[in-house]
Amino acid sequence: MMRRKDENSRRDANLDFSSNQRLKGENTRRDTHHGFSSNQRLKGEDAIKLLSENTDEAEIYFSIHHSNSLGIRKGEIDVFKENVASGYGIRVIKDKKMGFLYTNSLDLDDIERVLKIARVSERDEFLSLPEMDDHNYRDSRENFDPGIKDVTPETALESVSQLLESCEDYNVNPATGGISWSYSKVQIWNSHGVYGVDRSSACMCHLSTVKGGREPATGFYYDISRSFDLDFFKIGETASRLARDSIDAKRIGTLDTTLVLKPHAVGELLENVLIPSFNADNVQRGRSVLKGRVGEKVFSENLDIVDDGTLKDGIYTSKFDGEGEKTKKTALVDRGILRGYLFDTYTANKGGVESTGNAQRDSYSALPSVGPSNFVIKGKSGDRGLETKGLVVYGLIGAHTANPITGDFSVETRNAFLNGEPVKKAILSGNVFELLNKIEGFGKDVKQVSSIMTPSIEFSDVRVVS
Amino acid sequence: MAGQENSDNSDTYIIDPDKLQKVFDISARFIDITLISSTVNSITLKDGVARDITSGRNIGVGIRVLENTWGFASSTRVNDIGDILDIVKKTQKIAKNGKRIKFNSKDAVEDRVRTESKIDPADVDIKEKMEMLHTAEAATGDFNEVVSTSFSYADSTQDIYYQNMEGTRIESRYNKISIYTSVFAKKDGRIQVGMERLGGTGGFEIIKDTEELAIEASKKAIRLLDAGDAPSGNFRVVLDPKLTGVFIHEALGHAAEADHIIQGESILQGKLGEKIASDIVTVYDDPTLKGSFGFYHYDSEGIKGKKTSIIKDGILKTYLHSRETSSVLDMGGAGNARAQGFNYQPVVRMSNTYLEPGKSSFEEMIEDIKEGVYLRGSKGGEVDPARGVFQFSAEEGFLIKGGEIKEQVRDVAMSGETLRILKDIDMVGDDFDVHIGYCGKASQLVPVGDGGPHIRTYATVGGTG
Repeated sequence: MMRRKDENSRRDANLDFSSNQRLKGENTRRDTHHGFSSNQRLKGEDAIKLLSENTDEAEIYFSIHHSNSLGIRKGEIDVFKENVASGYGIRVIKDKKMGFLYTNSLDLDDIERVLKIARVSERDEFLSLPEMDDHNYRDSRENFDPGIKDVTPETALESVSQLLESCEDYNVNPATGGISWSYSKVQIWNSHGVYGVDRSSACMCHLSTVKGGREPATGFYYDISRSFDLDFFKIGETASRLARDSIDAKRIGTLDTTLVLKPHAVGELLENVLIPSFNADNVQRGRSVLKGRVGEKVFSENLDIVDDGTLKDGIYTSKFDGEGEKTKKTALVDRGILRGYLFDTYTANKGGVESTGNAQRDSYSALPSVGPSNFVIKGKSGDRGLETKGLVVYGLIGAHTANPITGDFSVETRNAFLNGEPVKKAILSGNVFELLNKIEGFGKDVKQVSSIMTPSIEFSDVRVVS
Repeated sequence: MAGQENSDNSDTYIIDPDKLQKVFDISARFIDITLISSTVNSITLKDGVARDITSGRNIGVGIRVLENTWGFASSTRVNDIGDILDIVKKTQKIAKNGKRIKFNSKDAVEDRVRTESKIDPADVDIKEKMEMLHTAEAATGDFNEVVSTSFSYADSTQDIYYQNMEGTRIESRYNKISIYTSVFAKKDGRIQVGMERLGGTGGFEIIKDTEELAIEASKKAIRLLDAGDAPSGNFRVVLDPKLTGVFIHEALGHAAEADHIIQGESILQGKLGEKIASDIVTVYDDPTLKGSFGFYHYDSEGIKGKKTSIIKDGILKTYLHSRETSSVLDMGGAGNARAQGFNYQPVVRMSNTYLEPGKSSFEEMIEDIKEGVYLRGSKGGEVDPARGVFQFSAEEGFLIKGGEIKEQVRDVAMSGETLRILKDIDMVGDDFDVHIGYCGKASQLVPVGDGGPHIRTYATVGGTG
């Protein structure tokens, strides 16, 4: 099965390519490249020229990702990993019909395949690719610290020592954890002349701790930065402290209480439940409760939300989005009033508006779709003692099972404290849209948790079942 | 094996396992390589338009090297053997740090296996696949409340070449196929979604009854529009086979993974041979279940997959193992190490996990419940295995009053403590079903099957009412 590439006889799994359709422009390339056989590698700029001659619109997206990580198990190094992954995503539109293909190496075969897909796919008049000139990215911000390339595993081994330093003091088991550091390059070409190069870097660290006992307690903490500059000691210390403080937890029965969600808990809850409602694709398809409500007050008047792909030091800051549109800062909620939604080129065409630069592409193997960049939650900064009153929750279990359309949720807590005392098991129930109308205040502890950047938030009158 | 001709197997790959033999020139305690080539074809209908049709292939190699600890290198640049060797040596150097991991040797195995499929998806014209989705989608047109639909079809072929320095060489081919649908319904400003899916390991013959799937998703969304708030508190609950599967996977399965045991992150530590569930509870993990989504012949370490009884008549019989965990704990039973792809290190995972059917009928289960909740369909779950606290959400809930199924409630979640809830299972149904899903652990998703019959137990129910 796993054979040498003696000849190009790869059968397509789905499509019949037996037709001898000759690509326009192929002969010319053959002449200049001396024997341009169908399995010869193409470069992005050559491929986009070839595609331009055979379709109405075309796009090539290339990414290469280098990542390293050190894994920890029970306080010991368990693994060192180094990974390299690269590939191309090709998108073509002909007669308003789209084809998409991904591959690790770009061959002439792939060009033929993607054109064939576009022929069988179905027409949608709103399909198009961004039209920009390449000066557009001149002032855009890269989310890249070149220093991350120089981080050695030996440096990271020292950071692991810092991470684990306080576990002994707190007498907890550093059960699993790790430090990872990575950098990526993205290139995009399209037939309208768009060409962009963007680089990014990231460093992540997490630790899960267990405090033994008749009923064990667990702690979890992580942090992320674009540079290798995390406070590893503090991450370990926080995870250890949470486990220690959560021992001897008690049941609290059913009650309605003031609730403080720490940044990680806010992120876990809102990532799945709130963000999809701002997605223009969901709005246009009748899948969002925020449809038709721009200009209305939908949340507490002290809540602001912006999506900002240009944010300095934002984890999801980039020069351009997944289809080459320049990233922007978009007001979504202003003093509780709904101001807009997140758009890519397709949904912008459909809605007759400009793209907000929110075409998200996690990998070369995925079609771009609408998604957040840095989803920034702000409000009147808190000077209230958020830590001391009511139920304070650091993390959630099962937040991904909440209802992304209605906003209804019913989730289990991890590291929850009622008036400072650890809580054994507590289900939080409610509705996200109602919850965001009960905001009492914000902390000063701003953290980025995946795309969400948020402080702690205090809510009034939330149902807890224990 | 490499280079063998087979007329019905006309795929060729840009991979040369011969070149990679250089990796085995490196002197190390243990080395294995996994070469994977996969192709995926998908069609998505959004509101009736087949706009998103995609095709892709990924090729890459992952190499593990063991010294004191593990080094793991992976690359999609499979022909750049010089670069690959450099990365392997770099990871090997760091692997010389740390405490020596126990890892027992195994006898060499040579084999070549492939999924049985009656209808190769490659032989089905793309137009026919699109037509199948359109026919299913059209069935939602009979429901006035339906405002938006998505139907996704995907077939994949994965070729895996595994080789280790002990002489094991295994070539496997897996075909997986699936359909996911989501149907959105609206009424008086309220929106609800109904989701259904089907799939398995095999060919296009797995795709059937797609119109029924569409109708069920539509009806589910519409039912939810009128569902009331769920109650909160501790209740007698009855779970349908989908939820039994998710429950047994989340609440028990993860805690039985031996890596969690070794890390001190499982409530099942030190409980082998103990009674942890009621007598009527027997639980298996079985990768050999034919056609199932979690099917495999060999795991990601080249160990043959086998049926494992985790709980037998309430007694905890064993943990699930990789080669490393079975060595460290000095127990038999590797064969549950799985990786999402060539770029992931294998970790202990479940395959198809299910609770064995019992004797009770559904009617018997509910007839003596004065006040309880019948939970149906899964929206997923999560567990903290160290504390044994789990949560999962049901798609639908129905109140049980005076032995009868009454009004429907929505967005109902259930949580509990594994050791308590397993002992509280007092009835196990006589029906059985396994459903497809993906399980996430260590940032890796692998296809799994979860199943069982209806069961009855006690749990904390959290609703919005």
